Amino acid sequence: MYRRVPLVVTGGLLLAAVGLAGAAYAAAPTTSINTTPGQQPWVPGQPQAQPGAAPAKKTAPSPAPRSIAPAGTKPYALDFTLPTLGKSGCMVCHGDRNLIRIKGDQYISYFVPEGIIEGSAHGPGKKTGPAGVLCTGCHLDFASTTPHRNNDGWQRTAKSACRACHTLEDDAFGKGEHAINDRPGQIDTKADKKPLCGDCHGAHDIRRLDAEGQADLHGNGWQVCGRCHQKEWDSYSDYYHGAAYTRGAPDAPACWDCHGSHLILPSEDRRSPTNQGNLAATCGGDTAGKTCHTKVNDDFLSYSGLIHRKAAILQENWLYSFIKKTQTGISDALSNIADTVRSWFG
Amino acid sequence: MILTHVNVWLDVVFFTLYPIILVALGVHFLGNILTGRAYRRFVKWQWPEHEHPPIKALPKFLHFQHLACIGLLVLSGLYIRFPFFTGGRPFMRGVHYFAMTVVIVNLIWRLWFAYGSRVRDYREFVVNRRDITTMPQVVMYYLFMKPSKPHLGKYNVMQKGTYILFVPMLILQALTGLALLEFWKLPYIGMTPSDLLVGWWLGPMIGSTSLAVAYARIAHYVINWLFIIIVTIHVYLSVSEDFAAFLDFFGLGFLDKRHAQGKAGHATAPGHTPMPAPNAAVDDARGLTGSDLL
Repeated sequence: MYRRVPLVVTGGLLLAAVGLAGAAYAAAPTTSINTTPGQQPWVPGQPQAQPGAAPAKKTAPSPAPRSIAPAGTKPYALDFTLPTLGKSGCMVCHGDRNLIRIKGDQYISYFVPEGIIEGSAHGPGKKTGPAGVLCTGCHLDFASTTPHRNNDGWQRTAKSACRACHTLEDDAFGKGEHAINDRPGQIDTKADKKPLCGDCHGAHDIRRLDAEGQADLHGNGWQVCGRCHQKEWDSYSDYYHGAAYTRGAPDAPACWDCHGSHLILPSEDRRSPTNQGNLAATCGGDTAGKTCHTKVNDDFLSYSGLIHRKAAILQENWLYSFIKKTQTGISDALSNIADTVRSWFG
Repeated sequence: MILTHVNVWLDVVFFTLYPIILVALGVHFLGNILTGRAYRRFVKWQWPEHEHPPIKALPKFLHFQHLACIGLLVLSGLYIRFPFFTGGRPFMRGVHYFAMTVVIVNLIWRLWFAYGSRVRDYREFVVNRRDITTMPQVVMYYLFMKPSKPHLGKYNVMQKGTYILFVPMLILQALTGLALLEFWKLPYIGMTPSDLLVGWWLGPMIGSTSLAVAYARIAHYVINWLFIIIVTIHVYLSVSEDFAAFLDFFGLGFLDKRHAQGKAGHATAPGHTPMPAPNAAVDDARGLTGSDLL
């Protein structure tokens, strides 16, 4: 009798498996990206069948390219829980290099390179936990609304989501010039131009602040500040600060070494590190863990007048102006002579 | 006020002055052509004869590496002030420090050679009374107002003056350059070179160590330009006045056969008047020159 037990157990298991497979087949959504016609071996670039899943109906239509679907298309019933191509969740779609949208004459990529988060400051770590910060940790409005609705505000949400964790930085930012003035009765006319966290810090590839990351951040002055403050960037050309920094000198000060980072204030503001009253502390004090100059006085601090004004001071120099005018005069005279000679020969 | 405007003024003055000097040297060479000096030298290949024995390889090499290091110092120093390409700061700074070390070693060795060695060739550089009295004639020769200049020794008075000037300039340049090292603490002492060289005396006088360093930087920059100007004139004169010796010094040619045999007399060369009166000091020095012992 006991010899029949394994046979009975095996038969029961087989029946259960067939029953489960049938149930799974019946429940499988017809447009699931996992429902590849037939059980073909996995091919890179093609959707991978879920191991253990029943074969799909051969008549199941292949879905249209979802990435360029026009707005208003009925959302796809994507299953965000099942791994596909070794990816899961958002990366099912956003891990696809071909994920683009066409806006006017532009192709906008929504591809997020694999591993970019893991290698960033938001990857797995002591503060972020073993999984790191999940996509929905910053893309808050997508946390419970998959697939995406036509949400134009998603970028602002993502760029401002940092405040959820970085409260001190957000607090400082809120008191500075970059914050949108939301006081009652006042309208901030510059609100559209003001940066959010992500505008300065970037998005998926925010570097860890180790030595390499700090060096990388240090060299990103134009990306962080200069592309908005072009005039200030162009005028940052004095000998040992600006000229050196804009030419990639690792020991020259970046914008934020003098102007501060999150609490950005105009120099006229008495709290600003570049305010005349604070220059001694900014140039001669302990700034960002380093002391640039020692025992400074007013005569020394007068050099700060050159940092963003070297070109202007050069233009004001009478000898320089005289030489430039002389050069222009000689050049014009030679040009006139050349024109005259040319006219002789028709 | 001082730091902002002085820095800009120095740039404007020296970047204006240097082209003027180049033009002046060009005009001077035109004078050489018009007076026939260039024809005699570069076409007929009549160059001054040299009374001293041929210079050996070691002094030539020392001169060459010194020149190369001065060139590297000027190039890297100007890059530090005016970075003309991206990403070169650490490398150029390294070049500057390397060349600085070589030049300082050269300076110490040359001072020892001049004053401490058996040769003691400092006598060849001493400006004596006859140099002073004949200086107008030397100047007039270079201004094409006289066909020849008096021959008093290995170097004429203008050469002596220039070479003597090089020593304090090099010392000052080394000291002001070292005074810029604000962030590197010397082992055992615990002070930075800035503290050691200017911080303890100039800093309190003007109220700021960093201001003292800034003044040292200005002095360093001015002396740099003096080097550029003097070396340019030195190169021009060595080419226009004695191109054969110039080539010989860089291993690109040879002086005349008589010179190679040590029989030539510099005083009899074109452009030289005979030596006026004997001078014991010069003769003593000539009896034992540096190149004899090298």
